[in-house]
Amino acid sequence: MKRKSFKILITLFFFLIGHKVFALTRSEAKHLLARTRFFYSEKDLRFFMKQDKLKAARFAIGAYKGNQLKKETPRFLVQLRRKKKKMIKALRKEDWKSFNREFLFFYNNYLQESKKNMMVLPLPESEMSKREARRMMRKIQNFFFPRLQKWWIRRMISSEEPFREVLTLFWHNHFTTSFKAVKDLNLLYQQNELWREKALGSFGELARSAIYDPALGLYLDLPKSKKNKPNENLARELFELFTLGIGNYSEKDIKEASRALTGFRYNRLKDIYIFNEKLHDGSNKVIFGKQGNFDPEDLIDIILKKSETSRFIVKKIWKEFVHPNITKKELDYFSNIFKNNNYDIRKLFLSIFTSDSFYEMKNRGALVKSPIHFILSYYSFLNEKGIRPKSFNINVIMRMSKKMGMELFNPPNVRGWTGYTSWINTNTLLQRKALVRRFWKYRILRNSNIPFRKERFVKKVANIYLPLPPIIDLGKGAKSKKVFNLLSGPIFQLR
Amino acid sequence: MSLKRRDFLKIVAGLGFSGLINPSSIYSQLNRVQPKAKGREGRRLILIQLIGGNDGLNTLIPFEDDIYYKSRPKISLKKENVLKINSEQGLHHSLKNTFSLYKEGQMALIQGVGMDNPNLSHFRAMDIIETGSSSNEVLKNGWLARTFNETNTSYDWNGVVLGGGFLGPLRGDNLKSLSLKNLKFFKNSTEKLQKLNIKELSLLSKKNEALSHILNVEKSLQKTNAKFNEINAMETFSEGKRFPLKKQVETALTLIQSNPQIPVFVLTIPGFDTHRNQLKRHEVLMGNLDQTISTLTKGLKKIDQWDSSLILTYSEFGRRVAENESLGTDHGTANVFFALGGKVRGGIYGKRPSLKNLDKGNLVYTTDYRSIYYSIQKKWFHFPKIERSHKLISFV
Repeated sequence: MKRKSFKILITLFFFLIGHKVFALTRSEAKHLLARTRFFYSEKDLRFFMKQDKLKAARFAIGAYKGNQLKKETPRFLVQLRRKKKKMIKALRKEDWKSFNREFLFFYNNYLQESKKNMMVLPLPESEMSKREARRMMRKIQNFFFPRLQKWWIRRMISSEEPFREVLTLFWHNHFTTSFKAVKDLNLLYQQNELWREKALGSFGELARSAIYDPALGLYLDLPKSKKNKPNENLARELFELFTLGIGNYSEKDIKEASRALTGFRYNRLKDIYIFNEKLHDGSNKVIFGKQGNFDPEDLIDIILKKSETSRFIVKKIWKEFVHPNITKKELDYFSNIFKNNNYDIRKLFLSIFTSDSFYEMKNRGALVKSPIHFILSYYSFLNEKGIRPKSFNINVIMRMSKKMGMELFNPPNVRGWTGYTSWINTNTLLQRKALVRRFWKYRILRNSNIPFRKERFVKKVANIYLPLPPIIDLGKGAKSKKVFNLLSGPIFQLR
Repeated sequence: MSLKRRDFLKIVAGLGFSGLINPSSIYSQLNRVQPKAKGREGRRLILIQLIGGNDGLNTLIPFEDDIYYKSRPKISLKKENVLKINSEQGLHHSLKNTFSLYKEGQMALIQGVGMDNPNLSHFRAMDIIETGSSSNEVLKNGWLARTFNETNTSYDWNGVVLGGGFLGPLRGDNLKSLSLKNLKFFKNSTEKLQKLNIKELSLLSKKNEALSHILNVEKSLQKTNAKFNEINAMETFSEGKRFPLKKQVETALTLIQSNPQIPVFVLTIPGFDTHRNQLKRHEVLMGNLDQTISTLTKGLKKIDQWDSSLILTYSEFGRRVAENESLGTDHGTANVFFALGGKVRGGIYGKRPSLKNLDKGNLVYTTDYRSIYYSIQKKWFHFPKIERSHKLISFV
């Protein structure tokens, strides 16, 4: 009896103490949050400071495998899809009467409101050229493009799985595709959901889906690639940017791989993308010294067998989530884990976020907030404190992100945004400062019950939202400016 | 006692808008900095970057070469449309204004430009051409930033990249180069900029590369605030038709007018990666380039800075000789660069690359691209200190 209660006591003791001993420190919790979310609140931080490393990592990575992902098709898209089909049908038959009827629907309901379009859009006449008709359809796509961007931003803000959203952006920037080139919102939407759905699965599966994704295919000219004269664009970028990294293949490998990738066709009317065996170059190829009549599936298998793929992806992930440089030891260790676990992305992140390497002091605040990270951090801070002006809305987030060099769905080229220090130049830093100034309203601050002039509050803000101690001198200048200075200063640019 | 220059300019600008005086003519007299015969004072280089790999063969067309037409049955340009510069070569038909500059002897065409073992990745090739390295060498800093470091040349500003993008050939030079998109915004925001009192830079920023980069940009902005306020965003140049680079050209001209000492400007035209439907797209691109060059030229002449300017176009690589099945061309090699300016010795330079002796379907270069850089360093900016093994070309 005595022994038993002693045992219970001991257990209880270790439970209480152990909990404290193994829990994350404030700085560690901040570090993990800054790397796995676009933004976090004081409450999030307090929660993570109660977890040990493993639990914290699990919470940070989010939902477990069985979880069903909810798709949230943007409303405008449902209508757009239906109408697009009708318009293409009409266009092919040169049935301008039906075409105009559909177009007028958009014109009356949407385009008319937009001043920009009023200027350039004549009402469709009864007869027109196919070219003119296609131009009008593009206008409709362009009109709705901001809605798709805003739909994504809303998801970033309200998602219950913030890390999945961070990864969706990461994969969007890895397997790049741009609206400018593809010009189809439905395809971009579907691709975006694809990255979201597969974000934490197997990289092999992800790469395979990428090859079979129509938006990416169109972006890199795959449907135009033909048996007798293949187009090298996708093959080259697949090796250089998506899997192996530069220097790990020859020009000959690219030429051969581009033959393995022939056979894809996109049917705009039916909106389907197919791999057609008949159009595929099924003859013999030599890729990385291996011989066979490889098809796209085989090509992915060949790439996944190469350890360079694992190393390349781990390096890129490290750059985005840990530190710009990875040591050889770390690279060897984590790329082995990645490859030996069938390229399981979740497992890789779990092992990174529970490792001592991740929590090394040199990694804290060593990365630069992307425009989306920066804007959403500021947005959520103002929201949390109840001092966000109404004018700071999703529309502003979208527009400002573009001004700071990150237009969602439109990476500058196939390499994507290079990130890190390239986010900050004289132009973009001014944009960031201007954003903070624009929505820091003293009128609102005074009417709130935020003690923003109090020294204690200033310290608290620095402690919670800055990854490193502020290096600017807050002693000088008006007191009320201190928090403002923190948020427009250099440390808030970091994560 | 006297009016400050800035105030005076405001008045002048006001008069200009009311139609009394043409502001640019007075301005140019005020600001006239004549290039010295041998000096680099007041001389500038205006780079036009053609991103994506411009198709040299459809820019400078070898219209007498059968192989050209055989390799490109669908996307070659017809002999009768080409703007002929000699009996065998001519410019793309969209380059009309540029062509007239050629006829005036103020444009040099440098052909067959490339390097040993060219790399066909956009990004690696761009890195190479912007840092001035050989293809197997990785350099950190841009070739112009290195030039200024090497020669200890001290300008207030080394250069401005219009369009707000990367510093490119100026990279590695955060303190003295600006990336800038909208002049008005830039001016207004730098004026509102607060002086940051950065505490003693402990070990923190030394170890943290990201932080030290941000602090450099901060410093450069602080300096801008003090020194750049002479700029008057006069709308002297905002006339004429719209074209994609209009804003960049206008901004460049305004800056040149108010800061004639800045030695480098970089303009960027994207979209040259013509893997498919090339004919149409390339025609539009060439039209953009032509508009850019002609607007820039007109503006420079107007402010009397044509003789002190050297415009150079460049691209990361050329394109394959043979067309692909998507009516486009894949990444290739040797290319043609344009050099334009009042002091340029017009003509065609370098040997035309053979269409017969190809290397895996690609042209074999005849002029090392660094010869052009070296000639600019030596003959345009007159840096006696710089010594390279590359051949000099006498286009300036």
